[in-house]
Amino acid sequence: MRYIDEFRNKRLIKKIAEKIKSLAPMTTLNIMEVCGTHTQNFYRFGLDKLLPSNIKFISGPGCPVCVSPSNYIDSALQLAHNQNVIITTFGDMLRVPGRETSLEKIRSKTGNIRIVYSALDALIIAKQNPGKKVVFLAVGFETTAPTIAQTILLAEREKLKNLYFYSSLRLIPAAMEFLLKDKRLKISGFLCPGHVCAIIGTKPYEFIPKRYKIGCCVAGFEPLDILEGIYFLLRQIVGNKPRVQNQYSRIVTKGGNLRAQRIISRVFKIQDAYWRGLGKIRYSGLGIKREFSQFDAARHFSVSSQFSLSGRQRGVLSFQQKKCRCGEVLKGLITPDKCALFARGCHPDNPLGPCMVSSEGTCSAYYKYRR
Amino acid sequence: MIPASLWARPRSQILINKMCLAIPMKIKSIKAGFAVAEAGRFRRTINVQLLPSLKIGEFVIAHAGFAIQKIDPEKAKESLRIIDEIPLESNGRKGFF
Ligand code: SF4
Repeated sequence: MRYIDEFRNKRLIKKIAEKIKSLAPMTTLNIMEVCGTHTQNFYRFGLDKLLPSNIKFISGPGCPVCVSPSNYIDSALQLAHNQNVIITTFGDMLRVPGRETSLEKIRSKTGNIRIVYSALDALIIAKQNPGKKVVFLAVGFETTAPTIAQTILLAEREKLKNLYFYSSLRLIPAAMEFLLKDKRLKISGFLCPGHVCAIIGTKPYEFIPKRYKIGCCVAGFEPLDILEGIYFLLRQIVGNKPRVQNQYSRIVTKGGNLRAQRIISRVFKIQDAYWRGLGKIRYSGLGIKREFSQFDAARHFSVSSQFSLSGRQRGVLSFQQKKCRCGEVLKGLITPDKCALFARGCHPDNPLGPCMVSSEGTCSAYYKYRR
Repeated sequence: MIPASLWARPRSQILINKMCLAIPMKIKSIKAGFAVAEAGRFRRTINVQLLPSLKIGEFVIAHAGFAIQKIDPEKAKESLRIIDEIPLESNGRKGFF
């Protein structure tokens, strides 16, 4: 078993799609997913065409790059102008628009922005360049958080003095709760992100069926995973028994990866955080603890670590950025094509809002596969 | 402490820049918190300190240079079996319940 092809088996895909069709009620169902890879694979594998048209697949705030606020990008841009600094970042981050420009646009001018695959690459670059200060743009959800925490611990052991982490790490369940509080939101079930759950387990979602009577299913990312997840959710909806189910049991356990959780809480503290398109959400971000402040770029370079927009700052947003409806897209209130700028001024080569930036952003996935 | 294979990584490997990409990989060898892992013809050194009881031959999900969780082969088979065993009423007359 290679854990890929088996979950793309055409016969089984057909079978479960049939089953979903026969089970689906006539009313409209909104199933929200909160992971960029779910969004992307859903369209990439054409699963939207397999589902009955009354089952809508909505993409919530599941792309970490997309929800990083423009202040964060602006601070990173500001750091990049310091010739003594090397910025290391995941490639997805480059095109995210700040208030005026993006890392990609200034990259050739400053020459000190490097794309890395892992926080470990930043650690290596720091070792190779002892005369420079290396800043890693720590963006991601619970899946990425332990990899960054572990790198900080390694950097401590290696006694590195020139490596800094600029944290914009976010927590998914906090954002889901924020969405659930909006009465306009019409969600019939949540497809929970498999790799976030690999770390945190299924327990943190239990408040959703309990308090909000909405079912959850943790699902993997191959076509069969996604369809089986939807099937489980449908059974919950039809039987009116909301609970937390786990389709991705080959990876996800109830308690998650305890070691990873311990490392996260050793290095990070939970704090309020600002999400682009949604606003400030309580206890939804991770900041570096005081003990590890020597690695905290926010402290060392005194750039903002809060990123809320003051009224004045909001006024500086470009006219087009103001018209971007990402906030509503992220909440599942509209589909991207309802935005006046979609494909007219806003496209993957010239993204105006965060949802178009990353290839996993809702608008971008919609542009590529649905237009 | 940090293995040489991480240092001497070919550029093409660094250029895999999709941050959310997490893939199943098979563990080939383990040494001091790092492992050589393989996915098809693609090989790389990953950190395995998040999975203390990992053994050679096991599969993991690798994300951003780290093994974040083991894959349970029995559970994988089980979830495929569940799909295969779902009773199919082709015309949708009868629901599941
Ligand atoms: S299409 Fe562009 S401008 Fe419109 S909501 Fe999406 S990202 Fe924002």
